[in-house]
Amino acid sequence: MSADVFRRFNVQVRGTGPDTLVFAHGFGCDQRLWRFVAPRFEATHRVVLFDPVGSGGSDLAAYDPQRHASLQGYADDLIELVEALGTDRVDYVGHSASSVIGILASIARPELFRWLLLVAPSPRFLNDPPHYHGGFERADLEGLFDLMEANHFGWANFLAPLAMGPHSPEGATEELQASMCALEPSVARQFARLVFLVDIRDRLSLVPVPSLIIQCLHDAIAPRDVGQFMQREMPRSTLVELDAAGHLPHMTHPELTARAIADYLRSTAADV
Amino acid sequence: MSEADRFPFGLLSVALDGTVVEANRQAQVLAGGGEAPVVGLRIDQLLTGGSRLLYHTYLLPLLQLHGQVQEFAMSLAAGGGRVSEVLVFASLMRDREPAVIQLSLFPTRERARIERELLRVQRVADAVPGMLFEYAVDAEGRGQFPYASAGAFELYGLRPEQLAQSDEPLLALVHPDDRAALAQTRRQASPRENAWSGTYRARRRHGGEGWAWHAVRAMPRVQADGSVVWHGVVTDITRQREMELADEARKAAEQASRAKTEFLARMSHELRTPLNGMIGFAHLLAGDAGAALDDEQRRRLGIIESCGQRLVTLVDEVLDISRIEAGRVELQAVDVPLLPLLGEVLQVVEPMARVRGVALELDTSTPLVARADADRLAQVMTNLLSNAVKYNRPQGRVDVSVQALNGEVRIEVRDTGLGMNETQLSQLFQPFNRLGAERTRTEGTGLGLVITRNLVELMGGRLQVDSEPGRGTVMSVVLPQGAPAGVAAESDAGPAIESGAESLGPRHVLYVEDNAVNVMLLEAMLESMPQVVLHVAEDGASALAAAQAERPDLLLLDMNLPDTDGCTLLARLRGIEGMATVPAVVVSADAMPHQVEQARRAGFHSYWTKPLDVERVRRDVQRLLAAPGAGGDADTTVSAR
Repeated sequence: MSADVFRRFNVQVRGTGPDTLVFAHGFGCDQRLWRFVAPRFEATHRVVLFDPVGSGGSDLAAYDPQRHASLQGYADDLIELVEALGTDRVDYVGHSASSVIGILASIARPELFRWLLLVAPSPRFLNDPPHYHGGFERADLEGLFDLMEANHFGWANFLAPLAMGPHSPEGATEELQASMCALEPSVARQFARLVFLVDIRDRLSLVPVPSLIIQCLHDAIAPRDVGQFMQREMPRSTLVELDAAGHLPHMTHPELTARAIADYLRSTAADV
Repeated sequence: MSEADRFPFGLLSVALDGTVVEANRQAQVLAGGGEAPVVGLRIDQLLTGGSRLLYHTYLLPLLQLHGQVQEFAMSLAAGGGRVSEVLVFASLMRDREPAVIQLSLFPTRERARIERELLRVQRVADAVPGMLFEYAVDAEGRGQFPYASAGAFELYGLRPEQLAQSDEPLLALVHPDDRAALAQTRRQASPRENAWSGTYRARRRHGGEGWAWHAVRAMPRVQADGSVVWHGVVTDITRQREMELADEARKAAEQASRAKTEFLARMSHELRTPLNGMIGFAHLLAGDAGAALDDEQRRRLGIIESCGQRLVTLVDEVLDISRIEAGRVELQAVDVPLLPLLGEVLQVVEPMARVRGVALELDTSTPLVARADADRLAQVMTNLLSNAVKYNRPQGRVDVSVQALNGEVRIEVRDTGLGMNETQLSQLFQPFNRLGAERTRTEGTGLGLVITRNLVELMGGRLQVDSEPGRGTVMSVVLPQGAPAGVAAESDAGPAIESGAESLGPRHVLYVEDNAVNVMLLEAMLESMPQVVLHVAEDGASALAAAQAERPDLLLLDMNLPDTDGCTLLARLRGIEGMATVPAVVVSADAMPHQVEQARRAGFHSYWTKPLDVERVRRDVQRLLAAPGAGGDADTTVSAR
């Protein structure tokens, strides 16, 4: 059972410790995005990394168009994974899209999660004037979907062999595609729509566990207002604003990010 | 001008915090529209919304992981609402201090256009219900699909990548018995560069019984090395095939049904001819005042006749049922005044009612007109009325009335019989089900009501049953209302033309008939009309000769003659000098509506169906002989009943 789940989500378990930290990467790429942060916790924690269905080394056959037609389906996947870990409760670190998935999973199964640590989260990317500034208009998102399609179909899949030259060895082409972060195009297209058209603002007040929101001060994807909005809506939440630019603090500012996570784990544990 | 400004592509350096630190001239043009300098702005300000999302969620992670990304499509907000489509080559220069991201920007207007075309074609190809493909088969017969549309997944659960190297995964899903034939049709098509088309069975994608049917159609291009590249489409034709099979089954069933109807029509024809002789002679004998018969013998003759009539009724009903089942009932909707029609029907049923002591009453207070086929309505009402009489109690009543309601007319037949319970009502319209009456002495076949209801519905009406055990039954026929001024469907009884035929001297009637019994019967029927001189001819040729010799005043023609048919013969007889308007009657064993119509158009004045009705024969002969010119109004007199 758990072997099947591990294979399906390409689960990697490292380190040891009394508590389990699950890292979930956001839209795009795979679990390698955590490589500057996750290893720092291996000395003190059992660290779990995985690839959601459709990304990285996950099993594509596990993609079910009905189950995965909503983010709740991905949340159900996460619940299955946590159950398969055979541990009491986990602390969950989710970046961007995966923070939404973690929120949905914790509402559905509060007993499986101790704390949520949300890195650059957004409950809604679209603006909803006059009171909510998500950062994007509908046309922006349609532009993204078009570009994604152009990149996936146009280059990664279709022209990758050309870019490498027709006489390049097969392996090299595959290597290039793998380095494009191995998103199954049809799955990614659907996933992008779910992620970027999401609106879980009305679910935030239902989050049953303590949470940490890590917000970058200069994030072009999740504006500062969004972090503050979430902190106001989520009952037992803490907001940490990093003096950092971009949407990937775990890549660009791994030390700051890791410290914010570690501080929270330590101080919240002390409170309990 | 710096070196970088000479580059034909844009060059941007972006600090890790997102600030643009360098831009060459081309980058300035692409990203800033040549106006405000882009250096010092944030990269986010140069990107469209979609690109901003892609840059942060996709490009930057890749750069962090791999240091560089090639050929990445993005769009720049070039200022003034313009958008520049660019292809980005990005490197993360960690060795610089501070580290920067270097973006080389290649405008892709033409490439973007081609890409959009490709994308459009790809979207169309993937939306096609079926699999579009390129299939390359080398000289040794090994195949692979360099291209397969998304339909590969729909049809076979295979992703195009799985087919790119080999056709094996697909062939494994083809029915083993069909693989060789499929390859065979392909090999036959390729040398002549013909289209390859074939059908084969494939495993059903979602399980289930049996196999799916697929059709392939493709055009070949033979390559110099002997390999063949096919371009074409595979479609799922399972539904189509199932429909074809269902269609074949339907046609076979229709064929069988037609054969059955034809058989029944032939049988009825063959049965009617001997019945004609039987009933006709029994009737004549019973009516022959000169015959030395005692009462018992006359009673037995009556039994012979009524048994014969029952057989005729049965033959008619079976024929009606088979016509209804085959959808071959031909109806002619006209405006029918109801009271005259009901009056006639009452007269038919009257003798039976009298025998049983049942009182028949028609409420004549409401003259109404229905839209219906007059003959079929008479048949319907005869059935309902005779049922009401047959299944009544002794000294019972049958009341017939007519009402108008909301553009419809309702004919009600109310009896004082036993009535029916729920179970009997539910079985009322089952063929041959007599609801227990088969155990009584009341005659019947159990077909009449089935036919009746079908006929009413075919006339656009409905039959309603209202019954209560012990209280009796009300059968109602509801029909569309007709126009009151409509032409009455004239009954062919023509008492108006009854002026003394006797006074005109001998009249010659030519009967063309090849059946000796029929000839004898007609001779007997006309015996009581001394002014009639009957001439008989066996076939068309002798009929023409007889007519030349003695010009007949009336023609009686059988439709099926050894050397010709009745209509053709009539035309030739009418061609004889002085015979252009001579009245003519069809004498036939069968009377399908189209036959009656055909006879009407050929110029016949009346249509007698076997077994012949003595009274009608005598009446018609008298009428037609009395008014030589009156035959002109053929339309209203030709009728099968």
